[in-house]
Amino acid sequence: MNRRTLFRNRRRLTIISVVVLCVVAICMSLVPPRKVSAQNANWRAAPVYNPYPPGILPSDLNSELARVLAEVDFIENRAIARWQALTPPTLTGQPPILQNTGTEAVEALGELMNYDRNISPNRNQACASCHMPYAAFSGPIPSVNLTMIAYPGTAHFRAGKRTAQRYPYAPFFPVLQYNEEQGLFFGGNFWDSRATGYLLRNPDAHQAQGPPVDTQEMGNPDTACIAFKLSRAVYRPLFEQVWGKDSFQIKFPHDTEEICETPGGAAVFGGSATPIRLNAEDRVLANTVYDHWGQSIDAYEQSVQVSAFSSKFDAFLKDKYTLTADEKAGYDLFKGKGNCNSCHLDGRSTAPAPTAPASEDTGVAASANPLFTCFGSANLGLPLNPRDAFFYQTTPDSFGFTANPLGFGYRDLGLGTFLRSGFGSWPNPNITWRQFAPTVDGQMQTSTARNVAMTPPQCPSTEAPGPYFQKEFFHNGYIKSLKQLVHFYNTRDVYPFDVTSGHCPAGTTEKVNCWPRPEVPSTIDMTIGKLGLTDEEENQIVAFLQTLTDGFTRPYPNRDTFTGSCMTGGSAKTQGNESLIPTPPLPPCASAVCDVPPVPNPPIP
Amino acid sequence: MVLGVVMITRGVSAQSATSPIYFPYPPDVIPADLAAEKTKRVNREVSRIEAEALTQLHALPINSGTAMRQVQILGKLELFDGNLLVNHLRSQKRWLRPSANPATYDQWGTAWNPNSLWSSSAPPIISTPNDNSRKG
Repeated sequence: MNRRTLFRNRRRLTIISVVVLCVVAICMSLVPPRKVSAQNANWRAAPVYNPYPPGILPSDLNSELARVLAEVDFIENRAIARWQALTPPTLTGQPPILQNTGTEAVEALGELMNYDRNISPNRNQACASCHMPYAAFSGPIPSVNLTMIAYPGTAHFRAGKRTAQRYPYAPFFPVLQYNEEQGLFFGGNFWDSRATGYLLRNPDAHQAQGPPVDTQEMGNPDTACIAFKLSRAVYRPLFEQVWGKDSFQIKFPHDTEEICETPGGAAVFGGSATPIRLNAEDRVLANTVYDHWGQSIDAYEQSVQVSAFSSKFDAFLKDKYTLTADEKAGYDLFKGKGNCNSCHLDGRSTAPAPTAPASEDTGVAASANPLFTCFGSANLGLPLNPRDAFFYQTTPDSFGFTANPLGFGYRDLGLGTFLRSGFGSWPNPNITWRQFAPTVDGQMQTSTARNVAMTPPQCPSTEAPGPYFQKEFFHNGYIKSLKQLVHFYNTRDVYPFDVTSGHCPAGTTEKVNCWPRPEVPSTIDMTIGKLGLTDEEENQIVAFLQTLTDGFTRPYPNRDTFTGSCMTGGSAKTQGNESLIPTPPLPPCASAVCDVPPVPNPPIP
Repeated sequence: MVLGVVMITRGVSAQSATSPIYFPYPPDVIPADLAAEKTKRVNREVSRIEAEALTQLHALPINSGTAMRQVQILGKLELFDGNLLVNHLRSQKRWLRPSANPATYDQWGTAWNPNSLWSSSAPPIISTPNDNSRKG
């Protein structure tokens, strides 16, 4: 064989090798990894996860979820129309600013994201699915509010453990901070303040990064899934206009879609939080997109679309509305005998004396837009709610995921568990706070009182006999009406019984003259519990709370989208009592919750 | 195109190296002790705080429990970092030295010695967070 022949043969061999390698590579790219494919096949054929005893899931759950999803799509289409009518902003200046319509552009982007069901693995859940405008962006399904408390996630029927918090005014909470002088925490988002905002410097934006990857909510297995799905969203051009045209220059692996259609927590992921194999540079880009996701949603929540400052009370501050006699009496009680504004700050001068029942408010507004929260946290001493769906998710679903292996051994220590980086919360980014956990066990965030009473227009009240829209109050939804809420503050320590919910003694009525023992007894807030309010005074405070509902001075956007039914009948005092169930015998607090140092002191039973 | 880039780059370099001092101020508008007292002192204080931040950083264990402290120190380092100026302080001996009043500005910048803070053996300011650290 001469050199020329040898060279020719080598060249042929090289060409053949390259062709074979290319064919193999193409074949490999067409065949997704087996594990994920198999998992997705399971997803489509997955049996519904239903570890619940009869009666925990409401009977109309499927139809109500479908109803809300249709409403979500309706608002998404409205948002698309609003975006398309928007004059594009002009990027100019140094630093570069989206001049003229930049604010509206980022708010519109956040709105589009908030109502986008495609973000969830099964394309069946948007953020708004648990936060609809007509309920002041809290839970939109009356029967869920009455029963299972936590909302089902994209994987039916996994569910969370707490009520859906309202969006309005959440963007005004500061970054979580420990005030050494007062020995108290202020700020953060979520009931347990775990969205500290420590990196984005914005707890609300940090909060918006939670549900998309929460195993029991939208359930994406990797934060990069959100970047991937946004890259395919119809509103991608708006995202690129706001955050930069190269935002999605990410080389996603071929199996990204399959991974992102599999719910988080699935055994196939082996516990990995980053199953999408991105190189370091692309991971940074995907993280940046996810930051912009949070910031855009925060922009929407902070806008007048959500945080409107358009209530009767706002009109009253501007001398454009005169409170009725009951509303005025309720307001005086709110900042006087009721002691409500010790946490739900009303921004008013308290002159001449807040505790004098007959005193007149002769002061002027200290703040023109009071937020009715101190941004702090408190353990109000609520009983454990045995209806909470979380307690029943003790067995694995078809993906091999178990939400709560502790069952009724779980106790919700709120901020205390977060500071310990404990079960069911997030890692605490500040280890120096951990020592304070026993002082804040059971504490939950003090929500704004604004919009606590918001309902759809056709169901104008939260209160029976209605017609009313059934809401749920506090972190575990134990309270079902504002009358009960005020009555609880007023009489918690007047009618205490050492029983669990569903076991009040004969001759008493739960929530009327029997309050079961607190879930976390060690750190209870004693500024309330025995206020000495009369029945009429309780009603007057409720009347005042109703003046805090946005939509009085101008229509509240998308409040008109409720297509469900109102409820009627009964009494606000005992509203929802028909759904009470007896708490089963409680095992001791699980070691995964109560034995994590520094342990609760005194111990939690 | 390459030639164009080179020319533009050269143009920018020339601008930095030879730009005349901007000094439109009448007498007494700029305080006489601006460089000798105030600015020199402030630069020294800035240096000290930057060094302090670096010390704090090097003493900090890097783990998820110190994530908040890490970002606080990073912010402190950035806030007191003189190198973020266009004419960072290492090259500022000529900056704002008006020919009309040279004596006042002769010592400009000599208190700032970034090389005393940054060495090739120093650890990175902040380690690249792993993927999980961004998740709540």
